[in-house]
Order: sequence, then C-alpha cells, then structure tokens
Amino acid sequence: MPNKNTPNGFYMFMLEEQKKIKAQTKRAPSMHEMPAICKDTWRSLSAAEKAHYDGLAKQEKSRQRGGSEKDKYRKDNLRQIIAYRRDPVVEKEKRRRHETETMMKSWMDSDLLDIVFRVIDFQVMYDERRENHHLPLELGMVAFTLRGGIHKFFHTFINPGDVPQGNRHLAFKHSENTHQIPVDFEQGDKNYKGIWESITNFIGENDSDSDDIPPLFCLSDHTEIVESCLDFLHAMSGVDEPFFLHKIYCMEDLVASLMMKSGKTERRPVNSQIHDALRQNIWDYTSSIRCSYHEETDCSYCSLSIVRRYCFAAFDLLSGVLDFSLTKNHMPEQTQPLFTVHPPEAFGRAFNRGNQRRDFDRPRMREDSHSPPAFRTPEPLQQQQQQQHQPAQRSSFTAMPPPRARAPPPIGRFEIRLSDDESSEDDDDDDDDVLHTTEVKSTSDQYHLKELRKPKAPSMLQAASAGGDNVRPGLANLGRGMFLNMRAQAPSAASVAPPPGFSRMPIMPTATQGPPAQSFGRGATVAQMSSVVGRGRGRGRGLPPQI
Amino acid sequence: MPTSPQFLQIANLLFKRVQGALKMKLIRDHYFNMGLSVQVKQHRLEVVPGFTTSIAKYEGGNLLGVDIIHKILRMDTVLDSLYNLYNSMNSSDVSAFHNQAIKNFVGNIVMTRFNNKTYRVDDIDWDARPTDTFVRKGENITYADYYKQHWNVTINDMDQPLLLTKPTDKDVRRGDKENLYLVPELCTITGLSEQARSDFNVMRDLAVHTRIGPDKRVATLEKFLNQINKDQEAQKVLRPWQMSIASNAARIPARQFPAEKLLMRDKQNQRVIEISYNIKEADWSRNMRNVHLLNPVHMQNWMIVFPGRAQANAAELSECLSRVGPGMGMNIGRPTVVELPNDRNDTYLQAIRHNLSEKVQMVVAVVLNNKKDRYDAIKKNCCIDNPVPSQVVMTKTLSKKQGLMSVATKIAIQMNCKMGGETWGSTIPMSNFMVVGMDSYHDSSNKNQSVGALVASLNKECTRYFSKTEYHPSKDDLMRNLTVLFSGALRKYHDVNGSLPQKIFIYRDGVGDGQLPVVYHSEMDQIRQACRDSAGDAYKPQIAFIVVKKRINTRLFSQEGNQIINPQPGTVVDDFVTKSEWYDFFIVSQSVRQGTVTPTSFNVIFDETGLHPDHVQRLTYKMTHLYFNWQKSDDAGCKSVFSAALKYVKIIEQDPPQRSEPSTSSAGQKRIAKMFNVSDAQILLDNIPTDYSTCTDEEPDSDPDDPDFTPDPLPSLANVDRLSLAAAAVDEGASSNEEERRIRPDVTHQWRKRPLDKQEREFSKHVSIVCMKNCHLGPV
Repeated sequence: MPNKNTPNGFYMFMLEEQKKIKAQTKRAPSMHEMPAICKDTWRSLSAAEKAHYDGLAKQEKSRQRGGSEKDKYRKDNLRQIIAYRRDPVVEKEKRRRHETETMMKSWMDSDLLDIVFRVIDFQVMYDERRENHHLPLELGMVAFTLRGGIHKFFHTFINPGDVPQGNRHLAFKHSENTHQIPVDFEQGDKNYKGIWESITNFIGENDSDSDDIPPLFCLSDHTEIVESCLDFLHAMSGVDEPFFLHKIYCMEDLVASLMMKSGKTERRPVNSQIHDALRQNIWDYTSSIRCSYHEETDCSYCSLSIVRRYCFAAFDLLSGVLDFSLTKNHMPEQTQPLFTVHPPEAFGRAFNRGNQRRDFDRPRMREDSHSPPAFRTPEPLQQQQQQQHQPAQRSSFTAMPPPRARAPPPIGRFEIRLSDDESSEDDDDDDDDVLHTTEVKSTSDQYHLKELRKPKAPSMLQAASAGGDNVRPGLANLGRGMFLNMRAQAPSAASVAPPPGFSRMPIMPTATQGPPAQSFGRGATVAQMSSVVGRGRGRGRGLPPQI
Repeated sequence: MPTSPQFLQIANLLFKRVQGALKMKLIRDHYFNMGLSVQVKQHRLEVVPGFTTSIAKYEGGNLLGVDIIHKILRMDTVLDSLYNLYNSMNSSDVSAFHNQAIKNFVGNIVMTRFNNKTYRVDDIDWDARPTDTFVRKGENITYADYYKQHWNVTINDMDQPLLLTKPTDKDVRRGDKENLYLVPELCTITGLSEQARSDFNVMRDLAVHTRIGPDKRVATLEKFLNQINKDQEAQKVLRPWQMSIASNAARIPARQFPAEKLLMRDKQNQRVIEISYNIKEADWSRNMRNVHLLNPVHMQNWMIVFPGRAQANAAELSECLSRVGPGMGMNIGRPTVVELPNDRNDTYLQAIRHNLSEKVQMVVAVVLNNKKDRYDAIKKNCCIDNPVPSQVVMTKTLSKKQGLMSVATKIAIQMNCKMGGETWGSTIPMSNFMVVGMDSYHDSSNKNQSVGALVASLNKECTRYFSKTEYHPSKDDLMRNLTVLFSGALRKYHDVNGSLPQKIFIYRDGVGDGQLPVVYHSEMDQIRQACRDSAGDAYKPQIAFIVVKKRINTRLFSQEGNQIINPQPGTVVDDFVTKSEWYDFFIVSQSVRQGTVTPTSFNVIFDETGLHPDHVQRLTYKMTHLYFNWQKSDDAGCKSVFSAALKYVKIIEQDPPQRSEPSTSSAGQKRIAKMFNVSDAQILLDNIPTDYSTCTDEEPDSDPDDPDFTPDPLPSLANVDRLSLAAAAVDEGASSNEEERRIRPDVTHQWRKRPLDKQEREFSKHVSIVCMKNCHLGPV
C-alpha cells in the first residue's frame, strides 16, 4: 500500500494555494476542501509548472526521510551507499574528456610533429575481475615523435614475486592463453628500484627542463592495468619520491585529437573505430619487433611488440592527415621472407604422369603474384639492404631439392631484382642459377656471410652485434644509445649471481651492479655501448653474446 | 490431473527424494548410482552411471523425462597421484616436483568422496599439513580431527600438503569468503585429463560404458523405473502422495519423411538432376560419385603453403585434389608451391602475403598441429588483411593413405563452397522466401563480449548465403545490433533477386526456454525495424521464428518387432512429448553408427507465413541437408547456416574486439563475405548451358560497396517464371507437384496442431516411436 501521507505535486500545489487563500481571506480552507478548489487550476497548469511542484514534492519527501544528511547512508540492495554510487562508464568518459582537453591545451605552442609521445604496455600475471590488483610480468615502452618515428624504447621482464596464494590457477591459465610467460620466469627482474628509475629516466629524458610530467599512453581498456602496475612498481621500488605517474591517457584520444588538430577531419572519429584500427593484427607475428623471448615462443602478446604495433598503426593512420612521411622508424623492419617456391612440375606425381588434357593456362606467378600493398609503404630501402638479405635466404635452404629461392616484393619497396632472376625464369631446375646469386658482391655481403656461418644466427642479431653500426648506418637513428642507458642495470642483475638472501629482498643492493642508469650519459663511448650489447639485450632481446 | 506449476515443482523434489531413497548419491545436480560404477582398471578410471530427470507437463500429460548420464572419476586419490609423480620424477629436486605437480593438478576439478562435493583446485599449499588447525565455531581444530569427528574419516598420511580452493562467486555472495583447504587423500580427480582425452585407447575403452546403444539404454531406464516401483523405500516416499510412475516408456506416433532429393549436375549433359540416397544412412557420398557438383568452380590458380616437413603430405594432397576434382566437375590446376623452412606463424603469413595476387582463388595451408594461434593468425590474415578464401589442413588428416581420396573429396567440396560454388541444392517448391540462421558465440578469453552472426539464403535452392556478424556486450544471448545485419541481408537479397522475400524463416540457436519471450520481443522488434528501414512501412514479410535446440535430454527410439533401434533420419515427432502451449516438434536428422541418436528440438515461437506445420517441418528437414562440409544430413536443421557463421565468427571475433558500431565495417563485411562459401562472391555460369543458369548468371561480383558496381536491371518476370518452371520440371512425379500445389499462401495456419488429413498421412509414413520422455506420472 502506498503511504498516503507522502506528498505529490498536487499536494504541494494545494499547500501553496492554501497559503495564498489564507493570505487573502485570513481563513484557510481545510485540506479536505482543497482538492475541489484546486483541481481545475491544476489541470490547466503546463507540464513545466507541474514539474516545478513535483520537484517540491520530491524535496519534501527527502525532508521527511531525514534530509540529505540521512541520504548519505542509504544503501541499495548490494549494501552500497547510493550517494556514493558511480557509473564507471560515465566516470571514465568524463575523465577521458578532461584528459583530452588538457592534452590539447598542452600542444598549443608546439609543432605537433615534434612532440614526444610515450606509449606503455604491461603484461600481467592475471586479469581477474575479483582481484583488484595487477601484477606486472613484462613492461614495454616506446617514445616517438610523428616526424621521427619511434626513437627509443624500453623493455624488461618483471618478477613480481610469488603468486598470491590461491591464484596460481588464474596465473597459469592467463599465461597459457596470452603471453606465455611462465610463472617463475628466470628472466624476470626483481630489481624494482632499477626498473622504476629506468621508467622515470625514460620519461624525464626529453623534457627535463619542464616540471610537467608528460603523459603515458595506452589503449582505453588497459588504463586500469597500467595504473595498477605502475603503482605496484612504485610501491616495491621503495623510492621516497611520491608517485607522480598519474597521467595515463588513452591512445585512442591521442589519435583522435591529432586528427582533429590537423583540421582535415570535421567530425571527431569514433573511439571504437580508432581502437580497432590501432589493434589491427597485420604485425602480430612480425619477428623484428618482438622481444627475444616472445620471438622464441612465437607469441604475439609481447609488450614491446604491442606498443610498437600501436605506434605503427597510429603512424599509418596519421601520416596522411598530418603530412609526414613514413621512414623506417615508422614501420617494422622488413625481414626477408623465408620461403621457397617450387615449380609445380616437380611437385606431386600426378603432374609428372601427365594428364596433358588438363594443362590449364597457369598464370606465370612471377609477374602477378605480388599482393597489393596491405598498408602504406615506407620509402624503399636501398639496394644494399636487399643484397644483405639475399644470401641469408639462399644459404639456409640449400638442402631443399629444387631450391628456387624467390624474393618477391611484399610491398612496393623491393623493386630491385637480382640480375639473374629474370634469366632463370624458364629453366626451373638449374641449381647453378642459385649459386650465382650467392656470390659476394660487397663488403657488407661478406660481413653477412660471416654472420650466417655462425650457428643459428637469427637475422635480428645483425643489428645488435658489435659491427652493426658499420654495416647499417641507417640504424643509428634508432637511438640505441638511449636504450642502452636504460638497460645498463638490468642485464647485469640477471647475469650476476645474486648474493645470498637476495631473493628475499625486494630491493637490489647496488654493489654488484653497474653504475646507476643516470651516470651513463649520452656520451657513452662505443666500447661501453657494445659491451652492454654484448651482454645480450640488444634492442631488447636477450641474445647470448656472439663475439 | 494436477497441472499447476507448484505440483510439478513438488513432483520434481519428490523424485529427487526417491532417487535418494534408492541409495543414489547426489553429485552437483544429478543422482549417481555409486554401486553400479564400473572400473576401467587399465586406465585407473571409474565410470559412474546416473540419471538426469525432470518432470514437466507435456501434451501427453505429466511426464517424467529420464536419460542416462555418466561421471568419470579417477580411481586414484590426489595423494596417490602425487606420490606416483614424485616417484617417477627420479630426481630429488623438490622445486621441480612442486612445479610439475602444480602443472598437473592445479585447475582440475576434484571430488571429495565423503560428501560427494566438487571443487576446483586453485593452488597447492606445500607448507600446510592435516595437522594444521583452523577455526571452527570459535575453536581451533586440526583438519585430521575435524574429518574424524565430523565425517568419521581417518586421515592416514599426516605429512601431505593441502589443496587450496577459492570460493566461487556464488560462495562469496553467500558470505563464504575464505579459501578452503582440502586433504589430497580424500580427493579424487573427476573428468579426463587432456592427455587421456587424446588417447584413442582410453576413449575406446570408455565408450564401451558411456556410449550406450538404444536397446540397452531403454532396458536400463526401464529397469530403473521398475526398481522405483518395487523398492520399499522409494514407495515410502511416493505412496503418501498417492503417486506412481509408469514402468514402461511411452509409445508415441511419429512420421517419417522420405529421403530428400538433392540437386546436382549430370556428368554428361550438364543438366541439373536430382539424386537421392539411402534413408537409413542419410549419407550421399556414394550417390554423388557419378555426378558433378551443382555449380563447381574451377580452381586454376591456387597456392599451397606447407612447412618442409610436410612436403610429402602436401604433394599427396595436391595430387589427390587434382584427381578427385574432375569427377565432381571441378578442374583443379597446379598450385603455386610454397615451401617453408619452419612452421612459425610469421613464416606462414609472409609466404601467403608475398605470393598472393588478385588471381589466387584459394590458399591451402598445411599445418603440422592444431595450434590455435597459428590457425587464428592464418585465418585473420586471409579474412581481414588480405582477403582470400583459405583452407587449413592438418598433416594428421592427410597421414592415412587409404582414406586420403575421401578426405580430398571433402576438402574439395569445402573449397568449392568457399570459392563461391554450389555443391548441392535442395528442392524447395516455394519461391520468394529467405531462410535465416542466427547464433551467438561467447569467447572464453573475452568475458564481457559476445558475437552474434546471421546468415541468410539468397536463392531458392538455399545454396548461396549472405552473412554478417555483430558484437554485443555482456554474456547474454540477445543480439543487440540485429537490425543492421538484417537490413544487410534484405538488401543483398534484393540485389540478387530483384525483389524482397515474401516469407522469412528465421532459425535461431542458443536460446533457453526461459529466454523465449525476451528473445522474441527484442529480436522480432529489431527484425521488423530492419524491414521498415530497408523497404518502408508497406513491406510486411511473413515471418516465422523458429528456435532450435540441439542439446536436449529427450531421446527417441524406434521399435521394430522386439528390437529397439535408433529411429531413421527423417523421423518427426510432434505430439505427446511436445508442449501443449507450444508449436514445437522434434526431428531426427542424423544417423549414428554407435550409441543413441539425439533428436533436435524445433520450437516455432512465431509464425505468420501461413504454412502448414507439416511444411514447416519438411522445410526444416530439407535445411538439415545443406551443410556442405558433410555429405550427410546434419544434426540440426540449419546447422549449415550456424556452423558456417560461427566458424568465421570465432576467428574474426578476436580481431576487432569492440566493434560496437557495425556500420563502420562495410569493408570488413566485404572481406568476411568474401570468405564465406557463398554470398558476395558470385559465380560465373556462362559456359554452362542449362535452364538453371538463369537464376545465377548475374554479375560476378555485385557488391554495392564496389565502386565499379552498376546495378543490374531487375530480372524480368520471364526469368522468374522460367525459374519456377524449371523447379517444377525438375520435381519428378506427381507427389512433388502435389506438394507444390499444397504449399499455398492461403492455407491459414492454426496454432494448435491439428490431426493430419488423409493426404498428409500418405505423404509421410507413420512409424512407432518409443520415447524415454514418457513415463506416466499421476495419482494412483
């Protein structure tokens, strides 16, 4: 039964009328008489006027219940205080709008193409709704400008300690489904202080003069994970500076804002559109952008590769809008595809047996088997690079019966063919033909042959090895020196046997490590640099030293 | 006869008590007969039989539905397994043992024998012992003492670690927030390990016990009912309520559809002919040896990608394909042969990308194992980045020499579909209709998102389809963005046929009984909205909405003499075991060699097509024949439609995970569509001179998204007439023509199922069916 005493709009109206009548006639009609007096006027009121009285009634109701003071303690059926209830979707939306505004404001007086943006991603132990914390296992960060592309990056595995009791199953399942990082990963770094300093260095490097902490970007569905992981690292690092990395922005907003800023799009693109575009999977298994562990396990859930993929996709989206050209820092390094195309005649007995009747007009695959570019192509590489790769491919498959190694251009950039390629068009089984192409043509090829004679030399080693700079001067742009600074500590921590009792301590003693990260300035000598590379984390890959 | 819901509720409760009185044990929701458990000693497994029961009101009265289920337990306790593992490790490295043990046991479901409860092992606490104490009712008590006092179980090994289980969501809501510790000695693992599941011997030995033939199943169930009627304890439960249970399964009438005719093409004169098959097998792979596919697509330019190790397999596949192809009318040319040095994902992708050209019709990838991420990577690449039809084949499938030709045949049929060909058509004497299949899929890795898929037939033979997917948040089965999908289907139908369908049959999978009204209201509204959006208010198609359920407990048996066998495919039951307030029926559409066949339930929740129920059933049965991966009738009507939809959904789903605005995906749609058997990739038929060519010779790709697309002139009426004439000509004999005549729009549909008239009785043979759903239950 509804409570008859609760006021409604009409009741409030009657009260008001009653007062008016009393003021005029000095005699107030009783409440029983009032409906008859007021009903016609009430009916003639507009909806807005009625709403006014409904509002009054609502206030009155609230007053009867005990006022706003008491409302603070009213709970819903889940025993949550109603006044504190927040719609997370609305909250997040609000926050994103605010962040976008501040971000756009901060760009006011600078060239969009030269602003440094930093993207971050964590792989976590498990992602469970019921656990409101996240334990980081892997960290990947890159910094880029639109003009220069990605110029530095940071990657490390983190050992967050033991799995919280009871969550082992979650951890196993999450690892199996996504990042494949085992629960007790030996590459995991426990030097939280070092990691924290690396992160702060990475962020503070360019804008050291300003106090403003630059934002970190990640995808909108990862903000919670990133915040939680940074919190964890900060707490574990034991540094006494306050936690300041609270600017975790959504990368979708960044891309959308940049598009808007260009003035070429009138309507702000929908967030989910950009989200989809950023998460495209064309580079999922591209070898050259992953860390060595995930390269080995052939897994696409690698933080380093994820952040790079976001950046590549963003470059791809924005280059047309903001008019900057894509260099090799904007796209993954092209690895030579490792396949051999056999002539179909040598394949399957049926063809040899003949069945001439079905000799269809098979298209010549040479000419027309090149796919249209799947994405915007960077500027063509030099011929030199093409030649570098060529022997690698040939020599790895000499064991195959008709090793007709073919290097068709994946996209427009490999337009240059080896001279003998055309001539060998028709004689398929000519093995000499192949040998010709392996002949050494330049010093860099010699270098490559040397490389390839090493047992199982992965192509990615080329860049990381000591002579890398001599061979490919172009790679100097990658800002590897910067990266080396970052890594100065961590590899040494991994390679040096931990002192007794080490594993218990959350913070590494610094005695056995290299100098702290800051002391490795930009002017580090080549010797220093190569020694660090030699220790095996060239471009984030834990390769064993080869020299 | 009492029919109130409360009565049924009480009857169900009583029946549970009866099972309890028969000394059966409750595990989760079902009662199991521990005394009858069979031990498979060589694999250390135990199979416990049990029953799933439910009492509900049907047209035949209050009926008890019973079926046999099995639970598989390991004979060893977890402690035994731990010791075995430790002894087999032959190294004294404790941490290695710990890791291995965690790998083996964490995540398993264990059952504690003393109370038959199941838990998931979340962790192993190596430091805990049964001698540890916990607080119970304010007192400290050791686990060993607790089990002794409370359950009268003695724990022998005091030096074992404890298993840890976290409370479920339900427990937390109830207030149990603490982790539970279990003693390994008292726990047995339930279910099979992955290893055992892939072991052929284990599965074969288990199948002896779990896969029961129809005769034995009926015998066991009748024995169970007899036991209830005789057992004193059970009667003590039932008698005070004056209830009894019939001891025999019910005999109910059913009808048998004749074998369907399938449209294929004659080898010599390339005319469309009909083939039939043996109704008992519902398998026409033999019958189609001497005919061509309905519309084969020649595969002249294709690519085969394989790792070096699989070279022999790939060569054989290529050879077999080229041999089986011509027999079906498919010319399969020489492939571009791409050999890979390893089987890494990137190697596959690069090889495919680099060798792909506009002309490549098909990419065949031979893979060494069924790694999910590689399959996903290949499919994502071939569906989204570089749209091309693709076929992934495992080397395992190709390893058996003798079966290779039939494997190649199936692969060739599948590829024909993917390239836009048609394998076989069905003879549906009706035109201007569209059959739509809808289903949704939840990915376990992406908890807060589901995918919905829709496929819609575009031609009369139901061989070509339109398809589109959508994403909806949350876990429920309701499709939220159906309007977009449905208008797309209507538009495509119009593009192809020049008119909109008059009748639309919607087959919807994945809806529980409780959700029917919700699904009806939300989805029918969206469908009507789509009709209004695409053709205005004047367009009011006649819509039938049919809910399909494949996982049901109802079992049907056929009795021939004294023998009880599986009913033949084509058996329809629409009486007695159906609900009186529903328009539902069961169809047995498949034939099984082993075990008992499961019928499929169809429930027409809305129908304004005016079709006679019999014709709806017949149409449904026809649709079961159109699953092109299988030359047999499939287990669910329109499964063709679902499986095709879902297969791609699964792949594409992970890719753009939050496509909440499907309108953005027109390009994606085109890609997806290109992937589908049929739909947008149309077929060129100009070189086949038949009367059937009129229905298919459109532009090769009449996609409206295509910039070069110019709309076809509407097909002239003459064409349409020729079409129906062709169909009529193909229908041989009087019966089919009669059928054609009888499907008239003016036949008003009755919601109540009415008895069949004489004509209809002739049309379908009556068979007697035993249904286990049917034990009378009522007051004595």
